[in-house]
Amino acid sequence: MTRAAPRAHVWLASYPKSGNTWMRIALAALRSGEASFDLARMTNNVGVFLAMRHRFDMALDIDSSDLSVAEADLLRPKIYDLIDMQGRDTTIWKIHDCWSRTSDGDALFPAEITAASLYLVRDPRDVAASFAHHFEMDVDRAIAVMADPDYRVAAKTDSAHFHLPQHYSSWSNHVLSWLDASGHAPLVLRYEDMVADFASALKRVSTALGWASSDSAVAAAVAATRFDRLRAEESAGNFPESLHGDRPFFRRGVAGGWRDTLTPAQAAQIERDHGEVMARLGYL
Amino acid sequence: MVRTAHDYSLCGWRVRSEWPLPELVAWTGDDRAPDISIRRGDVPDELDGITARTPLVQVNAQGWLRYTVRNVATYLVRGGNEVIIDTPHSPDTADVALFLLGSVLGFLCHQRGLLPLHASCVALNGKVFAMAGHSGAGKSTLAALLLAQGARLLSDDVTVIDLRAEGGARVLPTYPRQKMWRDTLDTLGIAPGRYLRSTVHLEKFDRQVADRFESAPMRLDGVCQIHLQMRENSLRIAPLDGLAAVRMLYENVYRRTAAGLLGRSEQVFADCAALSAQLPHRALILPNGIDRLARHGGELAALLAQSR
Repeated sequence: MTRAAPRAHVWLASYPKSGNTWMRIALAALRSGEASFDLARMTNNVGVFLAMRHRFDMALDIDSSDLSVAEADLLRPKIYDLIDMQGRDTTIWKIHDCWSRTSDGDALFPAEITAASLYLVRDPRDVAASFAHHFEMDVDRAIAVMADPDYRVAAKTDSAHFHLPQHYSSWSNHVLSWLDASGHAPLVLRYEDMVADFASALKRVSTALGWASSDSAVAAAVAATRFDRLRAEESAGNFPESLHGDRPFFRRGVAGGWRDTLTPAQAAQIERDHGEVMARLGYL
Repeated sequence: MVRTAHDYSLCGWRVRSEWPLPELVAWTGDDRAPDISIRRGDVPDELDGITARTPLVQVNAQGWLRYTVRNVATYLVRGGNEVIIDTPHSPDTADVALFLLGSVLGFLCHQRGLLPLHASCVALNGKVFAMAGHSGAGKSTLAALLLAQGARLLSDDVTVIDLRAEGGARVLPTYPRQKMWRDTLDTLGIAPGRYLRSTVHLEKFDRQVADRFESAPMRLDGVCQIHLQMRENSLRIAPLDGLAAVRMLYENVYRRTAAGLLGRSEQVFADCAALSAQLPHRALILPNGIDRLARHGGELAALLAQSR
């Protein structure tokens, strides 16, 4: 299929639990331009989750669930211009994979089709607490996972999964893969800076996307995505990506919460595992 | 080399195949000429006169479709009645049949003007329901739960619908086989059959259900879209009308991108609109998780039965 103009692809990448959903909602609100943004409509609007299996399957005319992890990986870089995005020219993809190449040498997120790269990062000590909550594991297990360069999700070979297999790698590798190896020179946003001044962060993102949003539009998007508002929407059943059980997706929304949730030994372990990258990002 | 051909029944067609397909029912019908022929042969890297292509699919001006599954096989599908398989593998390689009876069946349907849905299909107390959903939505699991309640299987993964049949939309039964993951088989206490892939490691198996297969075409009574919900603890069914029903059907058209490459997008949409107007459609809202679902087999049958 040929298209008149190549589509623009924006990578909204982060290790999980680093503010990706918050940013997606804010961008959806900003794009909608509405004062009161309906969270239930967000899923298909901005920040489409690239790893949803059915998009891959529909685009390529094959069931990824009939493929091995290695076979599906080889095809992932080929789908971007085939996925039906209802005519939108710019697609913002939500991504949790580390940046990598397939065994054929193709970049999973190719530079030549990239319109903008955004990379969100968060203090790994806070990520550990949030990760443990989200994936229902204890904090020590989360810390071990965050140090594992081979860590993959949805990669089981004995059961069905809605998502494609994704390689997170370790937290440090994830950061370095996007900041250095990718060659994308992404706009890096720290979760802590988003918490301190979300309007500034959103303004920078809007500029990187070429949206030229007005200050009042940014202010409205900030108001629409205040933590207490997102929490209330989730409690009211309006958030389509809820976790199972009674655990909230929007848990605390603070920076530095690790100080009262991690033991000193746990914090020290994370600092040993990731000290170099933490220092580079100003976390140590 | 002497090649042996086998005669099988698929969707009511007489299929003559050089490639052994033990998954299919043997042909016991009249001595008509084969409706579909399947043979081994060379398939070119590039079709002549390509009009559209995606990474796995090429289509040319004559409506031929070339489909490649790397390290498994390349298939040339033409005229809705001929398949040529180019593969280095021996006929006991399950992988070749898996994509032949999946994707290639879908392409044949589009070439023949039939509507394939990504759905499993069962007959329950004489009423035929298709249960549609993306990969991982639980189509095979629901079908297995319903078979345990006395339902009969018409198809597991691809439901072929003939919209132009006399008396309304009919389902053309495919084959008495289910594709099931190891964890589902374990939870439901079903013994696995052969591996669906033999060239790579995947814990996905064939399940033969010859004794619970309905081989005669049957009128379709309804289509349900499966929705698995994290926070759902019980089963619910809700009507889908108008545009929501058209959209649901369109979203679940099997191999829809290829249909577009074949120039059939508008016809496929028109077929979905026609089907939406003919039948009742439902959203089937179920708890996510095989063990939670497995507890509700009996309720599921009752829910479908009263949904008409």
